[in-house]
Amino acid sequence: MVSEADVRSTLDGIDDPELPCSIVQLGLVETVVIDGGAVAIELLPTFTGCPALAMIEDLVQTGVTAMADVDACTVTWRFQPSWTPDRISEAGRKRLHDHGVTTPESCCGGADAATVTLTTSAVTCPYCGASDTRLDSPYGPTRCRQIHFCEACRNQFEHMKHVQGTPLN
Amino acid sequence: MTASMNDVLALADDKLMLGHVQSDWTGLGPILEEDIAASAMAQDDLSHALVLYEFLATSDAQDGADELAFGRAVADYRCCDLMTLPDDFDWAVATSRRFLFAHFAAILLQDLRTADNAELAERAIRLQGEQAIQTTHLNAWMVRLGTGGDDAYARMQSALNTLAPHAGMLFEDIEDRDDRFARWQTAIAGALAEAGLTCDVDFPVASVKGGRRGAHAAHFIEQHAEMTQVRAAEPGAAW
Repeated sequence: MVSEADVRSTLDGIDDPELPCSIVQLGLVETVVIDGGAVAIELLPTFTGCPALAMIEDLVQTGVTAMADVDACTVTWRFQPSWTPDRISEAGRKRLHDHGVTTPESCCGGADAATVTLTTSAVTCPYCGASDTRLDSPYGPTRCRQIHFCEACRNQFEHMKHVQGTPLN
Repeated sequence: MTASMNDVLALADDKLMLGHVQSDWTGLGPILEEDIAASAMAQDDLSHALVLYEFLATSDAQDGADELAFGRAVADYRCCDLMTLPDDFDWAVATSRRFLFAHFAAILLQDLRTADNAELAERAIRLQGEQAIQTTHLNAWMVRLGTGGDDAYARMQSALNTLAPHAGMLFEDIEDRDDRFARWQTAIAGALAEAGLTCDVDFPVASVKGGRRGAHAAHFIEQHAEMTQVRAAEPGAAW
């Protein structure tokens, strides 16, 4: 019989279609339940409007169904717990950073989601390491990223976005 | 709280229509960042509509989300016609409309977070976090444009004057509308005051029937026809 660890290992080999980071490293995998040859996987969307969700679902279906001793695989998207950048693993953070995408240090989950603060002071430029950076726009090339600008090396870079009323820093 | 399914449908329909209308700006935004932001917010709104339609489709044993979005008769849509009011590619009107609506949506989602129906509450909590990014972003732009010189100020005030007579209809046929109208006015007051702009919106008169009760303006009917064109030409087509 296939084990949960085997399935998670397969999932760790599946990169997000829009980021050089696996879906496990990004923290999208919530639960993996095995019942004989049937595997049920629950995933969390980074943002509900992410156009890659259907593709990720297909990649997971295809990847897991191809495993030995797996007869069927179901994939469900869950809204709670909400995905936050807190869920990105250390390995994932490193891969994103190497790609020029920074991640928030930590998230104060549970704060009131009615307001968000667009702060920028704590974001360090992934290219030159300067902290003299500012938020250009909370809307970046994908739903989960916002755009920052480094005043020191004059490069734009991307930063994983906080949602759920936590500081966007 | 027992959530009104009529409110959920109204919010989903608003977001479906605004998402479509706002998509017209893709590639035409005044600066690159705002072009991306406008498209991203449109994408958010369409996905929020989908998340709400999916909930309605399963909870009410209705047809699927696509059927709800595209398969209903014009009179069965519950959106406010503020969404489809033509902006004539005037950025001041587009931004102001988004601002007025984003705060309305934020209040509804805030309330739906405590819905008795756990599935609806979970969805609302998720959506509200995304909605808060919109309201924060739009507040910033109202202030930036309102204080951006005489020309920008005049355009923004003129846009709000155009939209104000239609904005009260957001609250037509909505539960607890007195309370929510008051909260909405408070929510928009901060950014408007900082921007030096005014927007005098009247509470809707019950005798005036609007989109929330199926009496839609010509611009909604036109938009709806365009939006459902492919489906009409090829019923049951799959993407």
